[in-house]
Amino acid sequence: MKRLLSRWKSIFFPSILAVLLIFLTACTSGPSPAIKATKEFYINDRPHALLNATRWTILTYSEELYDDSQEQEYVDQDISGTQIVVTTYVGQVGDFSTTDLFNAWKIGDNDMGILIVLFFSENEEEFIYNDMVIEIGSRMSGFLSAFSAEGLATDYFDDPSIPDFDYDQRLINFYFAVQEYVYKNIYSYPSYDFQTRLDNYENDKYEFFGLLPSDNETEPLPWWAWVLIIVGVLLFGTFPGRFLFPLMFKGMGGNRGGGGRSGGYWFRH
Amino acid sequence: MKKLTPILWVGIIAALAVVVLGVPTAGVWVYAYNGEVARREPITAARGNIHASLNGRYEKVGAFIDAIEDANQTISDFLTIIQEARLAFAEALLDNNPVDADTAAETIDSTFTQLVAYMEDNPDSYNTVSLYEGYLAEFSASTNAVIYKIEEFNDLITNYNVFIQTFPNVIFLQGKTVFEAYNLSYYNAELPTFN
Repeated sequence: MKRLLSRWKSIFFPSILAVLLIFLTACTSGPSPAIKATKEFYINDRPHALLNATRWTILTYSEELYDDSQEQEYVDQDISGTQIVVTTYVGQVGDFSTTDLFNAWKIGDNDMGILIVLFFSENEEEFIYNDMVIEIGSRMSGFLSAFSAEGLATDYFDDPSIPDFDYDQRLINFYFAVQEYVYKNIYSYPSYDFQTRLDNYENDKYEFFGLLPSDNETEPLPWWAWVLIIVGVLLFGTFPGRFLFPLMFKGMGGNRGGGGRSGGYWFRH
Repeated sequence: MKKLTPILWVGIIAALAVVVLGVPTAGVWVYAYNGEVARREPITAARGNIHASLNGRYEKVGAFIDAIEDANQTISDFLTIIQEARLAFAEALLDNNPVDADTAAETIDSTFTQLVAYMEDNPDSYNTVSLYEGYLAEFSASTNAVIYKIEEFNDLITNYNVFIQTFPNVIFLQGKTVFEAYNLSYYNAELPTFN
């Protein structure tokens, strides 16, 4: 009898586990965004079109803006948590919906997000800048209209003193202008040291500050690897946690979106 | 075992018929009724979102219009039409009259489109190029926002219309009318030319 019970247990529990795993694999979380968010979140340069200093500058100052916008008075007014995210993409405007991307990444607390997408084409030697799309979150659009954002893009991104090919400099020029607008017009800062920040960037523009977290990202395990793991667990009755937990938890941590949404308020510059 | 009388047999068969036919029928009726309500309510909210995005569009473009200092007569005429229609739109929203609001919105948006086309054809009529580019960016962004809300609304409409017209829901939802999709004509229209 005992032997029978033991045998029954050895079949029953793995079967339950297998059924649960099948159900879990059937769970889907909706379509994936066109571009996967990076751990650093504020900068997403998967094609590596931007200089290392440009990427670190955007990451650093976007994190700073997010922290600065968490003051209690801004929380009380539901305007806290501004997130400015910059991403690059090799392709055409219209290849994917920037609104869907914005909403998938949930940029900004309280819908206070701004997404800047740079579109490039690529030849064997270099990236060629083609277009910029600016998508503004629902609440943010009450502070920063497309009219104002286009004005900033015309004055700073299209600054005639910067050569056309130097899109890193043009982007940073525009990025700091948007930051200045946000600090002064939303958070009522009396001043913003635009020039000092720009000078610091220009001094270190061609320095290498190290890899960003996303540069070390590894691809997630393919489905067949998970099948092998499940089969292994069922056959041998042990879970190789020592090897798998680091992989499973590798995706955690880093920056993330604040839950913001865009109502489709975007324009192409 | 006692032998069942014919009357008892009839009673048992009737009870079984009620259980076999009545319970699923009631289930389908409840599903159809609740499903219709669950799909109708978000439509009302989505229509409100369209009007909210239209209102935002008119406020933003209105602010720009105020910035035009040296508008010529053609532009002034367009602006007058827009201002009057904006008033009509605001009054219709206050009166909770979506049909009048949509009519006023059509007037405003068709005039917007003509204004953009006129500006493109006559760039010298404007004080600065950046003002013109800003207007186009605002026009484009607010149009995209309205289109996004309209697409959300039309998706809900399609879902609702399919639900009430498919079997077996159609049996229980007689009298429910299909919604008409929101007209996108003024948002995807090609610009007219003035030269």
